Amino acid sequence: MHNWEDTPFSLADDFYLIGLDGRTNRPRLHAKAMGLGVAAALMAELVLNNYIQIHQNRILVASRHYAPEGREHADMLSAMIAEPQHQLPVWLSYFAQTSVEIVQERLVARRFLHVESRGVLRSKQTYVAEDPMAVEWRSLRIARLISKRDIRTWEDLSIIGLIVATGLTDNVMWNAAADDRENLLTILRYLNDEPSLHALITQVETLIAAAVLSQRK
Amino acid sequence: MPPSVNSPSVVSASLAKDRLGVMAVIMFAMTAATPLLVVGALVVTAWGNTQVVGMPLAFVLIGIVLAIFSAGYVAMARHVVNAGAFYSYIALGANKSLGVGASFVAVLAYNMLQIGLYGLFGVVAQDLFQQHFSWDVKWYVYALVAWAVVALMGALRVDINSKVLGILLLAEIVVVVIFDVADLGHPLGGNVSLAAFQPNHLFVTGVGAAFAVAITAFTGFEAAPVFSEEARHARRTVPAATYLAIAVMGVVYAVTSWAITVAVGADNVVARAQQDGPDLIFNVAGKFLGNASTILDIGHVLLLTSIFAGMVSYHNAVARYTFSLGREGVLPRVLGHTRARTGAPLIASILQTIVALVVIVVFAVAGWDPLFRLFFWLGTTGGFGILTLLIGTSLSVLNFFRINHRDETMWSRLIAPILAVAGLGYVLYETLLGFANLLGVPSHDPVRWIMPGLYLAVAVVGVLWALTLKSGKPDVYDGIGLGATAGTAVAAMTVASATGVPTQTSGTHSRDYEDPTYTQRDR
Repeated sequence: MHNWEDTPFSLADDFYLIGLDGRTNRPRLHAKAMGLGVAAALMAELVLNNYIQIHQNRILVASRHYAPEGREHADMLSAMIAEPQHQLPVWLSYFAQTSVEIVQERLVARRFLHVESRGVLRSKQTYVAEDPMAVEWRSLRIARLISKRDIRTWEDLSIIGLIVATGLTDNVMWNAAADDRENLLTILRYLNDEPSLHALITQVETLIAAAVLSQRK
Repeated sequence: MPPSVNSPSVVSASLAKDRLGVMAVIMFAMTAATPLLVVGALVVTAWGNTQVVGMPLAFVLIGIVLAIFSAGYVAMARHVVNAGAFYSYIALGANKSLGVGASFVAVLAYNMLQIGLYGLFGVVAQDLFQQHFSWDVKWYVYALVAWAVVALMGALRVDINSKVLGILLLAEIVVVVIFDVADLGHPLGGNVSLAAFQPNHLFVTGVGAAFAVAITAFTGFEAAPVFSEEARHARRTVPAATYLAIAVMGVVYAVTSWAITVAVGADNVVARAQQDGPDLIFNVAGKFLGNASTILDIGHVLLLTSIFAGMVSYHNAVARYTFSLGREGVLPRVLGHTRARTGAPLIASILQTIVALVVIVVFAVAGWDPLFRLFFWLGTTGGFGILTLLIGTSLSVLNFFRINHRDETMWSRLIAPILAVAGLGYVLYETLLGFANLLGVPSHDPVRWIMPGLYLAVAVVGVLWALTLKSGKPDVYDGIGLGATAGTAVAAMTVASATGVPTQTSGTHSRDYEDPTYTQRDR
């Protein structure tokens, strides 16, 4: 058992776990929102490591970049370099196709999840939390940060933005006081200082709403 | 060096797999056709109520007008986001205040179309279960059961599978064709009479009522542009699906209603409709099909499933409209929320559910007639609302292409919309003139003004509300008509560039792309 309270987390892993119900191992988010949210989180990781910026929905890649350490980041970056014609909504939709799988594999490698075969023929692969409380802790931690208005990293700010954008607010803040909602508004205003993150998060919300209007799931 | 625009894009190819194919869009548009509901219930009630025999001709004429309307409609769909909603066209083509007025009209109209169906469902189910199981249950019990199921499906975002809808539609068409063949094979007096297509059977007092009924029958043809951004080859698929839906509806509705007049005689059809009600189509064909009562039972069940599918579809339409208005901040923002687990526009869905419940309960308590008052009044008045939106949309299309033609043909952007406004304007005039006839009330009854007047009232409220927003919340006002993209600064530019291609191509030229040399920050 690792000491999960202090485990440093990457943004996308953290968001995925917040979107997961640790006890049932079922996602709290519908598939589209989960895919988009995790994709945005992965892109935010690239933003925060200075590989890309987002300007007017276009992806700008830093000219003198080193190849990212993670394979998934390197793949994303080379895809964006290869086809610069696409705008942010396209990239989010594209990465959303694989984002959840990437993060699940990452979490398996970190021994946060393991794979179980379920169903009649054991044909259904399910990702199961090693420690349900560790999963729940990710949400509790964010709720506490909001309550104390103690946001110290862009990563945490991004996660809070994505929680709001995907509609997870009530899941995370189920126990929140009225003041906490006020805090949330104050916290989100800081996103204006980081236009790339702001763009990612609002675009996630837009794409989820667009799916409702175009009747796609 | 970035690849040229023409090189195959891995990203686009991968995303294209998720897009809707041609058949899927066509199937979706086609499921708006409900032959048994329209001919079995709507037309028969119209014959009984308005005494206008020439419904078959009305379907042909309205079908032509709607096809002309669609030329401009699908052309503009290529240039707007939220292309599934009439008010977006009006907000972007005419002006935002009128757009809000139109959105309120649309919400009222689709609500009326949806809620009216509960009356019909109740009556048809009551008859069916009475006949087969001798159940003595009031219409509103069946209506409330349907209501509860629709409410659940809306809240959980459960859709009826489009393949199921397609199979039901196919079955319906098979049944209707069998009925038609039976009817036309046994014409009254031995001759197949085309009387129902003669203008003198349509252009009588109450022609407006017949037109309103026909517009109501075609409602749903407008749905395909919802997929403007989701379909493969949308430029061709969406128009094809729209025209095909209109053509199939027009032919099936016109032929089936004509076949009934052939079998019972054009002069007797009003009396028979008053006598038999929604059973007319089944009774007439049943006589010729001998003891093949199975097909009549199948027909009745298909009528019920068809009504139910209509309820779900209109419920979702209302929920999407209110969700969209919530997103834009025109209505309370809580309406624009989706549920995390399902992605359902939960609050918007629940709101429509509550409105429907209130109306059903009022009708049940007051003991009003579920067929004439609930189904026919609300249904046709709903159709009238759609008619006003069609005219508003055509005018907006004209204005939208007035300065910038956006590479659309003169037919699509100018001639067709003008013809549509003229045709639909005439229909509107006649319908207003004959509204008392439509509702089956005396010409001095205030209800004839109250029902169409409701639209004027909500439109005025909408425009005034928009003007309040304009001065009080200009950012909200700017987002009107933008649907999902409203409220985000990056997406404020909704209208695609002159090429008419959606936004993702605007960065295609390599000169537009530059590697930034921004300073690496310390964190």
